[in-house]
Amino acid sequence: MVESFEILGHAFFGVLAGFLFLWAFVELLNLNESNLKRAQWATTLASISGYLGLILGLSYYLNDYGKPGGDKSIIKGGDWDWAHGFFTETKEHFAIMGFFLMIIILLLVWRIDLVGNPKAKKMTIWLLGALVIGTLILEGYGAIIAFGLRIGLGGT
Amino acid sequence: MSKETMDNWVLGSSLAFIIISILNPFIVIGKEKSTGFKDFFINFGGIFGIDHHLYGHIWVFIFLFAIFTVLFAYTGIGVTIAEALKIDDYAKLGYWVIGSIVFFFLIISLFYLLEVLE
Repeated sequence: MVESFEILGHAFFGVLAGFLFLWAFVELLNLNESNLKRAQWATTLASISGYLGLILGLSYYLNDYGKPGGDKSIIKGGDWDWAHGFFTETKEHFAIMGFFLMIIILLLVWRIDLVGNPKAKKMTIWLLGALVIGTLILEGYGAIIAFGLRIGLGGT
Repeated sequence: MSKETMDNWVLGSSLAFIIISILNPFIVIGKEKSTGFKDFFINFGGIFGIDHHLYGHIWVFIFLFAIFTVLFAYTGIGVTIAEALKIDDYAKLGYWVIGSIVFFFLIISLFYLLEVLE
């Protein structure tokens, strides 16, 4: 039950973070005094969602995924063993960097005058774009890992 | 081009991120190829309650990120590194951060792809 909550919550908050980062990205593209607060809060909500997604995914990975008879052994025993060998392994290390990237984003939107500093705004837009693309990549990897589990369980 | 005065925390955390991103692939390869290296991360994670190499890896990175951020924000080291890398405004700092992400993503992907193909 806890395992299901962790993995479903991981996927839910991951997708939500991606949408919220996209919202913040669009706000930044058209940034002025009137939507600055909205951009700041969109980024903050996106980061909170991103942290929840990462923490739940990490908890599942550390406590359930690799245990004897767990999802890892099922995937590795199936025809799509590379779903773990490439996608899980890459995803775990890629996701770690999200922890730190979100700290930089939060510092940028709350500490810098983005309306009056076009170069800082440009940096923020680039990093938000990277987070949107990164979230999509991680969601895609998660889908492939889930499919690898399905194949391992004998599905088609 | 005139030099822009950058916020200490943004500069410090961004430089810390760049260094960790560049270190990350080498740590990953070391962990996969060396039992001793992997054991170090397992033991380090154990200090904080979970004996798992990824947990130790994350805690090592949290400490490195925090130490580098404070070091670069409150000493002249951050400005010296920024000058050496010709980072004189936020846009260039952003390009370095993006470049470091692309670097570690490509190296880690290539490494695990080769591992799978072996």
